[in-house]
Amino acid sequence: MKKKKILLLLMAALLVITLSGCFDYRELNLLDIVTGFSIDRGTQGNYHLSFEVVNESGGESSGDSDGNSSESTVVESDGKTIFDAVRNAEKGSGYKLYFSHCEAIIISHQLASAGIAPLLSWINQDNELRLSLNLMISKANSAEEVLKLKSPLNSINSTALTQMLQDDAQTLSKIPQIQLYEANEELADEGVSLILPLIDHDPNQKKAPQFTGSALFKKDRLVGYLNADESQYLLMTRNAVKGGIIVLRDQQGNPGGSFEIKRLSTQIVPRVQKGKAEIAAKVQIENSLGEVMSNKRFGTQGEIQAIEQESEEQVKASLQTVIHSIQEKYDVDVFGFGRTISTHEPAYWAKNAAKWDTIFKTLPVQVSVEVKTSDSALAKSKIPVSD
Amino acid sequence: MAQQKAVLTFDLQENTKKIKALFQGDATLIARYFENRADSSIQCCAFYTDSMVENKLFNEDVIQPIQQYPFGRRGAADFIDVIAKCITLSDSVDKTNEIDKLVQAIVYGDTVLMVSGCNEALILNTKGWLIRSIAEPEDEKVLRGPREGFNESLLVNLTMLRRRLRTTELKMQYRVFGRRTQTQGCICYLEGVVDKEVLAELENRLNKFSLDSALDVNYLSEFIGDAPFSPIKTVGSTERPDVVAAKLLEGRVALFLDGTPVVLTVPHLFIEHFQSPDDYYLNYFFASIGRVLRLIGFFLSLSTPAIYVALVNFHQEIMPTPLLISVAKARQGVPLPTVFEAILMMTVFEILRETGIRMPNSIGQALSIVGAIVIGQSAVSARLVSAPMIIVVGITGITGLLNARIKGAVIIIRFILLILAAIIGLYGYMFGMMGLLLYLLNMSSFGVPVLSPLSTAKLQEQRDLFVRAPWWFMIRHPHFSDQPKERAKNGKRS
Repeated sequence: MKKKKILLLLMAALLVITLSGCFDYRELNLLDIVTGFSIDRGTQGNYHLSFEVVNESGGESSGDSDGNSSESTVVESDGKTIFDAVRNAEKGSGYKLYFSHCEAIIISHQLASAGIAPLLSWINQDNELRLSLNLMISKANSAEEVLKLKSPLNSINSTALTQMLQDDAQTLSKIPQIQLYEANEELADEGVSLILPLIDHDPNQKKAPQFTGSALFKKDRLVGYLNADESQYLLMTRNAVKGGIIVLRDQQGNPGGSFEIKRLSTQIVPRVQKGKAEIAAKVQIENSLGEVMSNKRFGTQGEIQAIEQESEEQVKASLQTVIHSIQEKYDVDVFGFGRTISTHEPAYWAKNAAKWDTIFKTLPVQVSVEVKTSDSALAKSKIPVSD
Repeated sequence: MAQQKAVLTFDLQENTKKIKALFQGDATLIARYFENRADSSIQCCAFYTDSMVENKLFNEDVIQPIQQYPFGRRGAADFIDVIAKCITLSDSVDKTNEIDKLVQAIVYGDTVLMVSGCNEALILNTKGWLIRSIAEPEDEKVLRGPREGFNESLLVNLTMLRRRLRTTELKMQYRVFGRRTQTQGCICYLEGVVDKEVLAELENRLNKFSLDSALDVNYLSEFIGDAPFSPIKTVGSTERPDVVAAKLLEGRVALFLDGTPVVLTVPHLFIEHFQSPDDYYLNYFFASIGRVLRLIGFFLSLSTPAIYVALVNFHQEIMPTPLLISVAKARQGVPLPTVFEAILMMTVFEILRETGIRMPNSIGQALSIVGAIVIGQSAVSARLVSAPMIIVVGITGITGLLNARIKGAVIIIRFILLILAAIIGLYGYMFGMMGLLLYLLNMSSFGVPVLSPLSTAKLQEQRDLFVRAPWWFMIRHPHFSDQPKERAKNGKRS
């Protein structure tokens, strides 16, 4: 009798496992891996989506791996909503789009001007899409044409775009890299406005993409643009600069040298006096002197300090210009001053959060910069030039 | 049921008739009649089996002295004693009147000597048959260390053991197994170190052995094992005398059997599957690396197909994008689902391995060409299987060969994990591993938990588990022996 019971138990267990299992089973070759997609406005108020799908049959047998063969194709579809368009993409092909490896989403600037919150709804809710994918705004005529631009970095366009964003943080720090979870946070937070990287055609190579600056948002609507140099100072205020170069100008205003940022940290210190708020931004830069094109000497401590002094003033001036211009032209607090005030001066914030955008326009911002040069690369002093 | 034992009578004719009747139909029984030169009333008959006897011994120790000895005036009954004590040169003499014992002696190569007028016979040691020379066992090779291995003769094996343990604490007890084969076995242990309970339990279980034959020690091990339905062994086996000596010194009990070079050792812990004698003869650093590699290999051999199937079919989001893309490309056009691909390739690998064991050397080259190149490469080119699957099965197979002793269990467990992973992905694999762990935790070998020393949770006990601690650190006997105390002076070198 005991043996019978064990046998029955075993059969029951087997049935349970096999009948309830396999619910998530997906054969690899039936998946269309989407690495990035773009959202445009289509005809008749529809959305027009283009998906970059990895080309499964590219590279026929096991030895073929030359990167020049087109590795991805673009699948287009229309739909009344984003989800509708995604499902419509399967029309007739039988393949189900697989989004877990999607890295880049490009939104056209026309759509962004109308508001991106409704676009992000499906992206957030679907279980396959990652929160760490990168959002971008296309400054070209449409987002789709940017998705189709090929970069020499990688044969899959979206991977190339992601790589460009990541490398930029280390080498240039002029383009913000905003991932989906960060965008969600900034949209929800009253004290900061969203910025997203701008992407357009590369002016030198027509067929390649290039990031050209940042886009400023009020709530979820696109309101303004910054070019790459201004974006650098914007990122500086946001404490998001990890590298890059600052160009020094000499007395005449011509470029006289450049230093490489090794470490940059910005502290935003808010102060509330008599019901009025003030911001003091303290920037500390540790740099190395990379290039001196003018006649300046940098051999002794005093000379280096003189250069540091000059660079401090120049950076401070540029920062203040950028901050003031944004304050005047747009009423969006992209720097996150409101966020800092809400943390440090909650009483003031509770009273004034609603009118923050107006207050932001006339907010006094004091910038102070401290530069420390740790080294001058391989040269101890100015390279001598003589006949 | 007490049987009357058949005994000899005083009459030589009757005795010889009895013996010949028992061996009816056996043409190798030789009866040698002879008589004493001086006194022809002393008739003798010597029985032996042809070619099991060393002829020189027989002639010089048995025939020659008895023929030439001047017996004088002694009574007939004394003849046997006189022969035993004064005449025969044989090194071992036994006197008996039981026919059973005489028959046993004849079939094992001894000579039975009967004298007219005596109701007892002598059993003289004249054994001399060919045995295999001592060679290193095929599947327990070491890089450095002794290269002796047991052979099929029990006495030679016991000798090899005794040479390494020159102490009176080494006890050897004979037992006989199998009604028809009457195979001689021997239980060995070290008196002061052995776990008495294990010894008692072993004797208990051996008493239950009920087959009529014991051709190999495996017949016994299936009777005495703790988990008879389990693929994981709870009784260890080895062919090397140095390994047996080491195990005895740790408090285990060894069981020898005549006719087989394999020796059983109990209790058998799980970690012993991964210990090799090399570990103790090489520097502890390299030995530890080897041990860790074997453990990693065991883990890989179990898990690789299961994890691959789980990741590729259920959890594609975990894999890095470039890897996923190349695997997807490789799977284009392959007709079988991943699971069946895996099972197919694993079966092919096992077939190749099994063939490799049994094939004659002359077709070895052809087999490796056919197996590796033709089947593997062509299967990929013909798109029957995908290239990543070949890599997965290759890793699985090779790491499986790394631990040859546990490969039976690994094949079964690997298959189960693969099926579980194919049904519910990584969940299935994790449940499978948890189930395996629970199963192992529940197993014990002769009272000692199979996962000790890990399960004792004492640091000193872990000295030989994942790494091999230096010899000056291993100061205690294992915890299950009777004396888990210091076996060396202190734990430091000086």
